[in-house]
This record gives sequence, C-alpha cells and structure tokens, in this order.
Amino acid sequence: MSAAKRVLICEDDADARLLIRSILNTIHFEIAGEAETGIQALNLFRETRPDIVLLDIQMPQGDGLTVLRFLREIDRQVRVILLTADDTSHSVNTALKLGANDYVIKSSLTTPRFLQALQVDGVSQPEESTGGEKSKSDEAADEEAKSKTSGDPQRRMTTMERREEKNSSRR
Amino acid sequence: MNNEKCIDPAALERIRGIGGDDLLTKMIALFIQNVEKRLQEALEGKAAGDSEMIGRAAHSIRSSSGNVGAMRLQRVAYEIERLAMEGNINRAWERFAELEKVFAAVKARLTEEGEQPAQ
Repeated sequence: MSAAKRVLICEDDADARLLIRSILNTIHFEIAGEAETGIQALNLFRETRPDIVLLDIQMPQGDGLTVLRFLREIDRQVRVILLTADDTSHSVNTALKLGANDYVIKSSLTTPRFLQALQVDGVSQPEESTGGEKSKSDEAADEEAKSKTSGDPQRRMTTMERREEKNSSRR
Repeated sequence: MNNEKCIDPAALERIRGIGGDDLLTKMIALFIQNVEKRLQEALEGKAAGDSEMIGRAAHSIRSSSGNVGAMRLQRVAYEIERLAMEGNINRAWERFAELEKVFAAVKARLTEEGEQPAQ
C-alpha cells in the first residue's frame, strides 16, 4: 500500500480550511500543514515538503501567485492546485502559466471536481478544456508571468516581506 | 426575504455527506464568524476611503458563500468586489445595504439548520 499523500493547505479563510481538512481526512490524505499567509505557506513548504499544495490565490502577506513563483523555484515537481473564487480571473491564466497544475473553484470543494484535482484513485480526470491544465493561454498572462519571474529571488522575497509589513501596519 | 430560498440545500447536504452534522455545524459557525468579520472590515474600508479593503472583504465573502450554498450572497458580494476593485467606492457602497440584508437572511436560515439534526 502506498503512503498517504501529504497536503499543505494555504488558505486564509478558516471555514474553507475546515472543509478542506475534513475532505482530506475522509479520503485518507495526510495534512502536512496549514498556512494562513503567503509567508507561512513558503516556510511550511520548506519544512514539510508535501506532495500537494492547495494554494489560495488571495491571501494576506504574499498572494498565491507570488507564493507560486517562489514554490516553482524551489520545486518544479510538487503538484500545485490553485483555489480560486471563480475561473474568469486573469490570475488563473497567469497561475497556469507559472506552473500551477490545476485549479478548483472554492464553491466546488464539496464536488467530485476537487477529488479530480487531487487525483484521487477512481475519480476520472477532467478534459483539458475544463480542467484548467494550461489550456487557457493568453499572451497577456504569458507576459505577466515572464516579467514577474525575472530578477533575483532573494531580493523579490525581501520586497514581498517589506510590502506585507507595510500592509500589516495599515491593517 | 424568504429564508428558505437564500440557501441551496444541496450544498448543505454535500457538507453533511462529508462530515455529518458536526462538520455542518462547525462550518456554519465559521462562515457566519468570517462574514461578520469581513463586513466589519468593509465598514472600516469605507471609513478610510479604501476601496481595495472593501474589495478584499467582499472577495472573502464571495469565496465562502458558495460552499454553504449562499448563492445570492455570493452574487451581491461579487458585484461589490468588482465595483470596489474598479475604484467605484460609492457605487460599491450603495450595494452594501443589500449585502447586509441578504446576509441577515442567510444567517437566520443557517442558524436554523445548524440547530437541527438531519431529517
């Protein structure tokens, strides 16, 4: 029997985390950790090295896209599933260009679509056109992805932390 | 507003199917707590003239609403989020009264649900 897949949940809403945790427990996946901010997500990823990262697009202290860029510099293999409020967002296209493997609309967490994204045995995979496997290309997303991944990672991380400190002081 | 119609019962049943009444009760409590917190943040955003803060609060409400089947709340929150992110703080605020009204109905319906065991 193969070992249970380990999942890092990166989501700032407590109700969504509870629901995800319950679903993962039901399908016998292991929870590697739970992050409420982008910076926590990166720190926990480095500590726990999960098999799957569930990544909310909109989080405080480092949004999902920023976290995704850093994750892909650390690990190109880990499965990253984006959590998004809807699939019309330009951010979804950008995330797929940046290397997210799939995305799930948050209101679909309780449906088979979420299990498909997790690649649970016995649940068939979606068609490319509906599953978000990098089929929704657009040039603007390409350009945004390219421009935001250039430069020194350490410098960009420091900038992100500075920006978050500024935001925290405003809150 | 009719409390029965503000929630899609199928969404609640899906949550029950995953974790029973215990999960549903906890989800409802966290959802209500989250929306009340975000409504407060939106008020603070209005007072500060910060349309982005209102947009972020509306986004969070929109994200959470779908899971408990509060589809109308989700739609109104989306309209406010879109207006706020476009910088239309006054127009976003005009819709806020409706958001509060829909949430009051959702809260009443979910509170009833959380207090009742499954039939």
